[in-house]
Amino acid sequence: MSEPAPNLPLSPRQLFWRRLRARRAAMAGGVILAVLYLTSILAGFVAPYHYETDDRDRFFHPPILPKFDGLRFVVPRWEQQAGQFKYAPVPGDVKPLHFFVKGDKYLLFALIPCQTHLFGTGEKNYPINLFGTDQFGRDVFSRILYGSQISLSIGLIGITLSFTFGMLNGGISGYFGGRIDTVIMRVCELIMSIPSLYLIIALRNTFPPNISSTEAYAMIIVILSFIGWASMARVVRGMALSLRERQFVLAARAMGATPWRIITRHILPSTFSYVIVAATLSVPYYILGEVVLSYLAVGIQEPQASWGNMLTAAQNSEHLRSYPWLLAPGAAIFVTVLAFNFLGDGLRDAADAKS
Amino acid sequence: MPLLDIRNLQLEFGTGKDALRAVDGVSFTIAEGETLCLVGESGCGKSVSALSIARLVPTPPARYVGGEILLNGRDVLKMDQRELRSIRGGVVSYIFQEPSASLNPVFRVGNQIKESLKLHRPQFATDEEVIRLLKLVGIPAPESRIRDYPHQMSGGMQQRIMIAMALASEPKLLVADEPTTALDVTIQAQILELLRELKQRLRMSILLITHNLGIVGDIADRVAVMYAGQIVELSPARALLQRPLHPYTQALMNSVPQLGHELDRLQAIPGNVPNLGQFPSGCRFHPRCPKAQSDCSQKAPELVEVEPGRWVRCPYWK
Repeated sequence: MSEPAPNLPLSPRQLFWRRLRARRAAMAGGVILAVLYLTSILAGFVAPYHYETDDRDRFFHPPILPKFDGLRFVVPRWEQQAGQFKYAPVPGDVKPLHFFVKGDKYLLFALIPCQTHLFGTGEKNYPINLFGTDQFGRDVFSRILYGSQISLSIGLIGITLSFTFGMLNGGISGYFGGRIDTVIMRVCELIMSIPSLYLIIALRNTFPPNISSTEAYAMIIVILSFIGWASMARVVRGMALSLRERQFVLAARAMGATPWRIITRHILPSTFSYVIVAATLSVPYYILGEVVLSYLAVGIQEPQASWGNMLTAAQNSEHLRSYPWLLAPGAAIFVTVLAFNFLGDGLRDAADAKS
Repeated sequence: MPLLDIRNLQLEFGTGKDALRAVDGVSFTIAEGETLCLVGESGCGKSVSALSIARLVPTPPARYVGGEILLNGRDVLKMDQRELRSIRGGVVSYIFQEPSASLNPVFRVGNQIKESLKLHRPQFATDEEVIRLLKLVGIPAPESRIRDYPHQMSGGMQQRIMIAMALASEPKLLVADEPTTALDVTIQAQILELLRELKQRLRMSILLITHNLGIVGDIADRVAVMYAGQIVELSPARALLQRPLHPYTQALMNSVPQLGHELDRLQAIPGNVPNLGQFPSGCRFHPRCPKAQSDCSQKAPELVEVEPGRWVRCPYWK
């Protein structure tokens, strides 16, 4: 029994992995997300600058990319053209790009004081702004990395909160039925019947207007979860309605299990394969919710970076035409949302036993 | 005092004029260590009566109209939820027809047995106790089997797991609702043998529900035959098998093919079990009864003790 026979049929989990690996888009999405979350955790280290570091002499600076001169990467020095609002590299004036250089102070994992950065020149006059700078001369690339800490984590925390709440409510609703079911479902429908953007903004106004970024972060999660649990609860309720008729639920009741135990131990675990897929596909909704609130300047406040409030700078069409790199956070959102959708689609197909 | 004493149990589905009486005045007792077989066709109220012992029939749609279910002298129909949960598993355990459906597919079997232990004997919720139970129900290599999922086991093994779960809480009464119907004949025999052995070893009472009279002779001390929501005959098993008194019991026995007898056709009972709510007047069996008299459609017969320990619901049993 202990040694598996060589021709043993694959377990459901192995089959699932095999099917998921066969889906290139899903795997690509998964890899991209892994990289994004890794860099987000290590944002302070990967980013060459702190999100607050500004350079008043270099606002709206175009992207500075390192060049390979045959031996090493070098970064040119850029100078403002005399009398013009334009920057150009100074020919021949370059500094080598170094790895693990000392730079701005930051806290690694929000705990360990640290000064080492993945790359940089180590000299103030030879900055490296991969995605250019914004109106205060802050490095857009660094701010995207710091912003990802907020945008990416809001998705995960929001999903965890709202799906836990949604699953419990759906399970209770479906298992007990009757009046409890009616009340919970009507509340869900009430929430779902209001267009979510209006609901988000209306709920935002129940909080004080000027709140710190930390408070705003918690507030955004609470608002989005408050709206997001309803759709989950409805689907889980439907599944619970059919699961409660299964004989193993009767067997658990006959064993003397409490309703709470039956719901959490016997009904909800059977909905996991659906819930995991639905969760993956819903994460973009939370990321975009933060973007909307911060874009409207009622979410994460400056100077804290978030993908939403960085896009506020790109509101002005004049700026957008002259400094298109301000849209970089939009690209980051695009890539993240797409990666989540690809991964979610792949998970759904792989979890579908019929395929 | 018998372990279980059901008195005049009446249960309806639905309310008002549309109410359908699924159980109509069922009474029987089970003494400690006794095995009672509840026999009858599909839909005659056997399972609902058995589930009522721990009040497991969902209400609504069901409704208890009358009667008492005395378990250890306490009326189950008057218990609160807390007390109900303590007798479920604690005093009466159930095993069901389809073991594959009764086990939760997403948990390892060892954990499911442990679940039962946690609820009623939390201090014994250990791997050792689970292994002991698996040995008790005759599972080979229990040390590795506790890590199996239900789908990795055969139907007979799964039913053994169910029995182990039922025994984990050390119940006084085991209710087995057609425990062998979904199994092969050889496995059936093994499971029945196991039940008989466990009953002797653990001194528990068993209520076995079946529509297979062949099982009755193997295991039962007494038999209750149900028809259309009522008990029509209640008798010691041996006496009933040798000389059934009620025409319905006789017809049931005749429909079982006998070894060594050449048969062209099985002796089926003519007609069908009447639907709930469409019971004929008078004796509910009279339209299908070969011995029906003219007044059978008028007068509803009572369950009468005609010989010591033998009860029959038919005035013309002789």
